[in-house]
Amino acid sequence: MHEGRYRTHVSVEQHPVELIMARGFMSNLSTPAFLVDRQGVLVFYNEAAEEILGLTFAEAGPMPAEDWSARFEPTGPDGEPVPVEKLPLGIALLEGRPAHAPLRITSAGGQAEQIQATAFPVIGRGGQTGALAIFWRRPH
Amino acid sequence: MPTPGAGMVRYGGNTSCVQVTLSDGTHLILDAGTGIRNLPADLGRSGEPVHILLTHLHLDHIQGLLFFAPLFQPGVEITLWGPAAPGVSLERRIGRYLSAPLTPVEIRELPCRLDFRDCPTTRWQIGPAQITAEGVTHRGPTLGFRVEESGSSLCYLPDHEPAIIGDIDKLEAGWLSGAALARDVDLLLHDCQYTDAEYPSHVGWGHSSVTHALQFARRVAARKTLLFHHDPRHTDDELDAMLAEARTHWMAGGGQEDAISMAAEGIRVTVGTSNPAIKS
Repeated sequence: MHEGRYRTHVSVEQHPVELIMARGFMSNLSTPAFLVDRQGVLVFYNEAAEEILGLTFAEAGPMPAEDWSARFEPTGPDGEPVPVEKLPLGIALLEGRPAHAPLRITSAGGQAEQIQATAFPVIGRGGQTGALAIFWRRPH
Repeated sequence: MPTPGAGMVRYGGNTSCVQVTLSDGTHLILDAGTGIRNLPADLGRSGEPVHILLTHLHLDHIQGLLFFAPLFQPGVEITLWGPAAPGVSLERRIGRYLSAPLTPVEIRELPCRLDFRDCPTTRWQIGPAQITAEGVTHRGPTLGFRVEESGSSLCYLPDHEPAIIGDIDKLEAGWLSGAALARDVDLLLHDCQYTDAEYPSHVGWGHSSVTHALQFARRVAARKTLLFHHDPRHTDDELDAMLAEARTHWMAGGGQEDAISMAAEGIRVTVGTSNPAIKS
């Protein structure tokens, strides 16, 4: 171990390269994007997503599925809550297929946001490693 | 590409190939660049297994296959490992090179006993060694390898651009490509193709600068690092300068000078838990 300017010793579980590269790609997008790992833990969202969600990812941190779905209170166009397994991201994660839906979410500041969300599974050489969703504000 | 020439004599001009000999005589060959031609032609003749592990199928990492003498020896058993691809076998992908019009020899004509295998996604055994393969950030599906035997370890990341994701020093744990493979390794062979001045015009090309290689080595606490995958334009003198710069930066961060070396053709490294010894 070396002391000094550099941090040493990466000690947490390594994300698979598909998620690492997905994060790099998302970081450069102006389209809001959301990334979960194989267990449904929210592992990253980009600056464009932060603007809609009203919370930076640095503040939010990694969250299990039940936490991020509860925090942003996704509902359908009819106002009924959508369980995580019925969200596009949940479908992509659990069923391994792309999905799309219009949704309403509540930002961290309490503002209702009408969005469209499209999600797809991230599948690497070792199988599915997570899911990625892009979303954007629906025109009123 | 290979770059023979008067200015490349000390470090060499062949493309990537590293021979690892295990304690039981099993031969591991990491990548099959043109450097493979320098390996003993009688490898495998005594019945010892020969395993070639390919990090990826870019031409500079496979173009030596046609010139690897044991492939042309009847009875020699060779296993060729490589990254898996959906729907296409490794044999078929290699066959795109070992076939007309690119080569005069087809795979089916090779006299040896050649077996193609996709690298497993979990750790597996070759002879007395444990091998781990993980995807790493490069252009196209690319693996890094960790080889462990009797407490000694080596990590091979010849084509690697961890900085494409972000600042290597600041990336949170778990997001640094290759880190799990290289953590606490006795000997790290890491991509160091560019000078720091060259890298900005080569972002996304899949390779690292001197600073990136050092940052990575420090983050994973590698005991010794061999800077690898020299740019084909870099002469011996330029590589000397890169090494001097690398050592200066390394020592400025509290490291030992002899922890950083420049890979060169023909060097032998004894990998052990105390202090890997590098001999020219």
